[in-house]
Amino acid sequence: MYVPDLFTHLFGFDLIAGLKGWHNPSSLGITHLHGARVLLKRWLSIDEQNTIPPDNDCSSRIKSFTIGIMAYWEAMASFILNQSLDTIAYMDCFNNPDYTASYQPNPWTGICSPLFIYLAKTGTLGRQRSMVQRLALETATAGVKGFLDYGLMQRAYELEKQILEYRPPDQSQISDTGDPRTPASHLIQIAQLYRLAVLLQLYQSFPELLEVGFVGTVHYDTHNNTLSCMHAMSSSMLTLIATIPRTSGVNCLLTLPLIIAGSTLQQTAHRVPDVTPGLSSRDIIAAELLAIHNQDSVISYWRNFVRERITAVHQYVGVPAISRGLEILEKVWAQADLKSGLSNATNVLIGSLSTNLVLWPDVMADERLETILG
Amino acid sequence: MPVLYGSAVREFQAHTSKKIKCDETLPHCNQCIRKDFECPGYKRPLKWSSKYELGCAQTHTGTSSTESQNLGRAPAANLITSWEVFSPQTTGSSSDFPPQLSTITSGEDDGPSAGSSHNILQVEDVPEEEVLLRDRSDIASNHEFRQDRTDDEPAHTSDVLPEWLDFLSTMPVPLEDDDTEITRHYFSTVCPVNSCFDSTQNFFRIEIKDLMSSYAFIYHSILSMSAAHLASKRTDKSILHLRYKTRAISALSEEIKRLGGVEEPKNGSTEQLLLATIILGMTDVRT
Repeated sequence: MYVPDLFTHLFGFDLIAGLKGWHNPSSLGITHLHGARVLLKRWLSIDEQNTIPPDNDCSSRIKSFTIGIMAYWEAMASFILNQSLDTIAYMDCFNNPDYTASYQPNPWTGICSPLFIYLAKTGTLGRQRSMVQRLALETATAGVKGFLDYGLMQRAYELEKQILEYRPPDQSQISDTGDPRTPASHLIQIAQLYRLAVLLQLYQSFPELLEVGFVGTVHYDTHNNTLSCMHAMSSSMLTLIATIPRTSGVNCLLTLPLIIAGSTLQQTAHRVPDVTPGLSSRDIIAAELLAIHNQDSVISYWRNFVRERITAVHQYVGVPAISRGLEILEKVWAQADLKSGLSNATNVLIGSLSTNLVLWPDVMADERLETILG
Repeated sequence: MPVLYGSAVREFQAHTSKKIKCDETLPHCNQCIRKDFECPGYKRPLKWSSKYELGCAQTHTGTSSTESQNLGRAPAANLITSWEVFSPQTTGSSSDFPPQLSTITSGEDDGPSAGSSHNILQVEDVPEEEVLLRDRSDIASNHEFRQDRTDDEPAHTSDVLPEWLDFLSTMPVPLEDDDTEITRHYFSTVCPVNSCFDSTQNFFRIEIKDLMSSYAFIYHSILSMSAAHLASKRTDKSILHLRYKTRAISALSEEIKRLGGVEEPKNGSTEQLLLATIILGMTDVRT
């Protein structure tokens, strides 16, 4: 079959399928995403065959823009789609940051398009982990579960390394935005924020990654310590968000970081750390500093901050999906508080942290609140 | 619009610069007679105010920047680009004022024909710096961030103008068709919030504008997105979103059929198809 014909039929089918969802308010635009993937792959293949460099800046700007918004779309869709990592492998060629090139800011990804590709992988792995853990309810699948879980952990570990190695470009590499409200420094803050957001989302789905790092240094409850570390990351993210002026254009990118940071604000069966004799004073103060983020009053403060900031972003952007993000968060917090209350009543933390933490993508799916949150 | 400021003030030039309040008595004012000066006559300075002018084709750099600061927003956020689309029925002139905008169809109102996807729109090629200040109050009311304005700044300049000019502020908004309204909404409201920065570097404001003039499916996709955004505040506009989406899909289908019948994609329109698909997809999830 002639390639364009194949493409036409493929994409035409996607469009017809897309028509069915037009009048459905819960339409997620997934059919369009499939069509866009086909088109992007086709475009890239044509681009590879074309040895003539782009004839003008406009062409390269369109390419940069398109790749950025595809990375953004893939990242947002990864939290509502069950898919293989291979599905988004076509974006791999764009996630190698060039630390010498100049960066033209992208409307939807700023200067950190690679982080959105990592986010897409994180979301995909997280959904796979959730499915595997639900499989584990059946004892007969325990062996299969262990095998699948091990594979996912390996991939998560590799992804964590890539994210940790990522560095935002230097300010001198970033082209002027021309927007006095949004200097390049805000875009760098967004890159820092998304790097933490991707990491935190990965740790939410795979808290074992953090526990590995604590071996040999932690002498009290590992669950609480891991959660304290995530709370510290969450607080850092929210502090970073608080420093971003409300007049800045980057406010339109804050929804997902707010949801990821906000969903980490879960109270657990809080216990005073049992400090093992022999620890140095610095170890003890470091542990106490981490434990501060677990305090109910601190969690409550940051929850209110998230509520207020998401509402502000919603009013700024004017997209209904953003208010749904807050709805998801309220349900996450309600479920987490319920679990925490039960744990406090029995004084036992049931199960591992990975099964104990309430994950916002799971709540979104269970409560039928799926939406693209960007 | 000429505006006469204040009462007549006569300036008296002597060896030392001195001002005398004139009581406007004719033929000579009493103040001059009393002080034994030679009355030099009256001077009633006229000033031009662009405060209530809409759609002026000139750039009001000083005015826009100052007033934008008063609103706590960047100049580009308050501005929309000058925009003109020619209709087969009413072919507009680039010198027409106010700018006209009509549907892009070639005599049909239901959507563009497949063969007319290129160059059926003509967007006035206005330099990006030439922007219009319009609907300030409407734009400001869209965003709570205007609260960053300090209290000592004037809330609105109308209170410093003569009262007899206030009737201008109650003038009804000129009637405009759907395309014009939705396009205006796109440039005035959607562009600033649909990008993490807004300036002449904003892709949605610049490149997309150029693509809209050449590709019907891009044009309708953008209008679909803009109508969906407007519909979140005005439910009466929700049907518009679906109408533009239908047109966009029709244009996309026709373009895909056309692509399938040729050896090579024309003018690399795959990327434009991709853009339109992304815009439609993201609009779907935002409605």
